[in-house]
Amino acid sequence: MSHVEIHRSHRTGWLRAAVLGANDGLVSTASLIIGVAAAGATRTDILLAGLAGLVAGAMSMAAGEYVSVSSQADTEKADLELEKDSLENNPEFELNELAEIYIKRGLESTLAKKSQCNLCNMMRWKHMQETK
Amino acid sequence: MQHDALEAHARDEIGIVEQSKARPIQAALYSALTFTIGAVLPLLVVFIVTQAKVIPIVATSSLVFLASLGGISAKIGGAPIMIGVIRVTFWGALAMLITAAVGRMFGVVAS
Repeated sequence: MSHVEIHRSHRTGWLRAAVLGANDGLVSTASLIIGVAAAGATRTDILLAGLAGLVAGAMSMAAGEYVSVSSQADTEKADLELEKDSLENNPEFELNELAEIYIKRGLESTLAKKSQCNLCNMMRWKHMQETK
Repeated sequence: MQHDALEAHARDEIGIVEQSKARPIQAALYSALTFTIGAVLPLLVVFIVTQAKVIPIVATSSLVFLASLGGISAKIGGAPIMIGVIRVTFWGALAMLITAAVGRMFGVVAS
């Protein structure tokens, strides 16, 4: 019996950017047009304002997305560097930390008992300490 | 081996996974492109209709475009379609309403 699940969370990155852009383009341009028209502008002026809004908005959107997602990427990178350093200098501490995370998530010593990896030994030991 | 350890820590301690990693260039291109598409639609409407009808037709057609955007994006993400449609339409309508009110205020002041 085969079972196929199609997950879509891998699309969140570009879908989020695309929805933000399309929504902003529609709302800001339509609002601009309606606002200028409500103030009594001529059709040529309305078109000019709308076109200027389109160009300015598209540029601002690209720049804004680039810097905001870059700051997210920089933070992720810095965090990974920190983790890499810690793994090299305090491997025991890091191993311990990971073991604690897995135990908290409910991974018990039954699984750890079956294998001989460092992490499994650490978890088995921790579990023994806790159940004593 | 060291690489695998880093990956495990990134995933389980920090919460960074490969598929959700931040991609600045991709985000910039997608948003600028879809902004342009979204902005062209109401401009086309202004081009087609007569001056007297600009406000009502731009407003109603934009609501239809917004509803489609909500529906399409929900469909791509596999989320409930009606929720997407209602959310995008509601906030878009509110934004346009407030802008129209402000535009009218300034129009009255200017004339």
